[in-house]
Amino acid sequence: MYNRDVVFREVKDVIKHEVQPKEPMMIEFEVKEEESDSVVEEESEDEEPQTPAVRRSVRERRQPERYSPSAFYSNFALSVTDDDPRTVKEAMDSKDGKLWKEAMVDEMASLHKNEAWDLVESPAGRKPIGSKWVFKKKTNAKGKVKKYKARLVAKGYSQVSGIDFGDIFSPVAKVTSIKLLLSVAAAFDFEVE
Amino acid sequence: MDVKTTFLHGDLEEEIYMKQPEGFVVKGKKELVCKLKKSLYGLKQSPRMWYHKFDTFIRGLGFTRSKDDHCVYFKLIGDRVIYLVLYVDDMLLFGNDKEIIQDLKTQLSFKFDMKGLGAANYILGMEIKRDRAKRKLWLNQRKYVEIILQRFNMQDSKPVKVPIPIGVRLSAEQCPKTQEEEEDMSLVPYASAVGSLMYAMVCTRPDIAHAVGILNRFMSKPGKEHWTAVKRVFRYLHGTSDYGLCYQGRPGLDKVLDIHGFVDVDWAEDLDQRRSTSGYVFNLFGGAVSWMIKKQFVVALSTTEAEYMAATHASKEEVWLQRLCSSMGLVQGAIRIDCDSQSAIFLANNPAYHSKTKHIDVQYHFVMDMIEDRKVLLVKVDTLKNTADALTKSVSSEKFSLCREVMGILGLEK
Repeated sequence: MYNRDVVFREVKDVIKHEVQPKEPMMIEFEVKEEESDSVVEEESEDEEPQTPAVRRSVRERRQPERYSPSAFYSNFALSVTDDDPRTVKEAMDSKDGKLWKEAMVDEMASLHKNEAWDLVESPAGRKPIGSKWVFKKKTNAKGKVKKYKARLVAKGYSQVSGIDFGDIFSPVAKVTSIKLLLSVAAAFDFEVE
Repeated sequence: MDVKTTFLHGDLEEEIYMKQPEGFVVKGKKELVCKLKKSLYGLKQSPRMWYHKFDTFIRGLGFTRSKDDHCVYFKLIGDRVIYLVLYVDDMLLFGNDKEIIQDLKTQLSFKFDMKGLGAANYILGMEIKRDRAKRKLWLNQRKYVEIILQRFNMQDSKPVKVPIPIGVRLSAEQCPKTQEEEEDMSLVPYASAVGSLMYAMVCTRPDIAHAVGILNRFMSKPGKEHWTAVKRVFRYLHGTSDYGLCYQGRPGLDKVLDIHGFVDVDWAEDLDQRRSTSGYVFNLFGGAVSWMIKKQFVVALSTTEAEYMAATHASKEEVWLQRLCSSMGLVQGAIRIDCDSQSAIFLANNPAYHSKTKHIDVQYHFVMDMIEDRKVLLVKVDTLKNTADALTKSVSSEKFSLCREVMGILGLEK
């Protein structure tokens, strides 16, 4: 008879098994020592009638690595593990410090070219918002670093409603419109660029 | 193609002061601050200011903005036509004349810094492939699907044929009950996995819409069975990663569209609240362009009532699609919607009151008005041929692949 109604208790077992193997092993070991101490003389007499002990594998039993809690976490950890620096100091201290610096100078040049701001006296009663550098290595399809990019971002979270911003809604195209037009383009043989 | 340093093009309306950037404080002017003139990245109003700038520019070039999607612009010059769709900094141009497309590109590049000016291969992570001789266009997300399979470690899983098999009924009953179970489930990235599936579903994969719609209900407290179901959807995607929408037209049909809808319902499908699920899909030139599944807001007393409400949901979308088309100069007549409930069709076509239907809320009679105005045609279809069936319930793998094919979801041709 086969039982096809098997329940796999993936998550629960993963957590228990890491702790379990150690404790039962210890107990077993102690029992054996006691036995050998007290029964050592009788051993030769009783050897015959004793049923031979079942040979048990001495191999240490372990859960496969893929079921260990650490593997479980790393399996599902979202890929946030990029090595891009988080602060200016980290960027400058890293081995690509020179490249990051160039990227920052590029970004500043772009900001100046676009006339992003004027330098003025700090106005009374207004608290200027902060800014932050964001560093990102741009890679191509094969994962090779194509460009070192530094972007200056304003800390928008400290903006005050009514003073620093009013309406902020901005529309984007609906995916349905995009698909409708792509479908039309296919049927009517339009250029798509 | 897309715009470089998009947001820096936006002009600010408000007075905003910012500290000088780290590492670039001007010597001897340490106490000065930056009074911003352009919308920097990170400011709350940056996307709005950019949109405003672009909108003003493109309308200055004589483009008309669609009233039904504010990011669709078009221009008609005789029988030459050009469309522009804007998605923040990304845009697509469509048109039947190379020259005016080139003109627009030149003007755009002159005003903004543009990138990727050739034929479009990607939009929003969707890959566009074409066979112009056959008038075929494929839209797929195989790169995205591969990325999410890896992210959730499902790249070596065994493929399956359907996302949710018949007989799997998920309910709140399976949510964790003990604290231990809850802790176990807290190790599982349920919400982000379902979110990743949802993006694929919204863009090119109506075939997993039913599964995602159900899995979404357990976001706050997922149980083990729910997680198993999520993994099954990944396994399904693994077997069909290169599947996507395929549109195909026939030569000689220019200018006339033929949108065709399907609507269906799964009565009292939700085991917890006993509400029904509406589903619809609209096809155009062999592929789905719009789809949705939605749990109805009220309990339907009969299948007729549930189908009637679903027909209302579908006709709302239908009206929008029709308007969008006509606002862009495309001809689309009354849209046919296939429904497999004869009684719902009768109810929608004949404003007769019966004791069994007098309680139906006013909003759901919308479909009746649309039929009277001849904007919608509700037509009876055999359940076996109703494509929307696969959107609302688990079906056999044969039926599933049939529905998938009708929605134009095909693998890439090798």
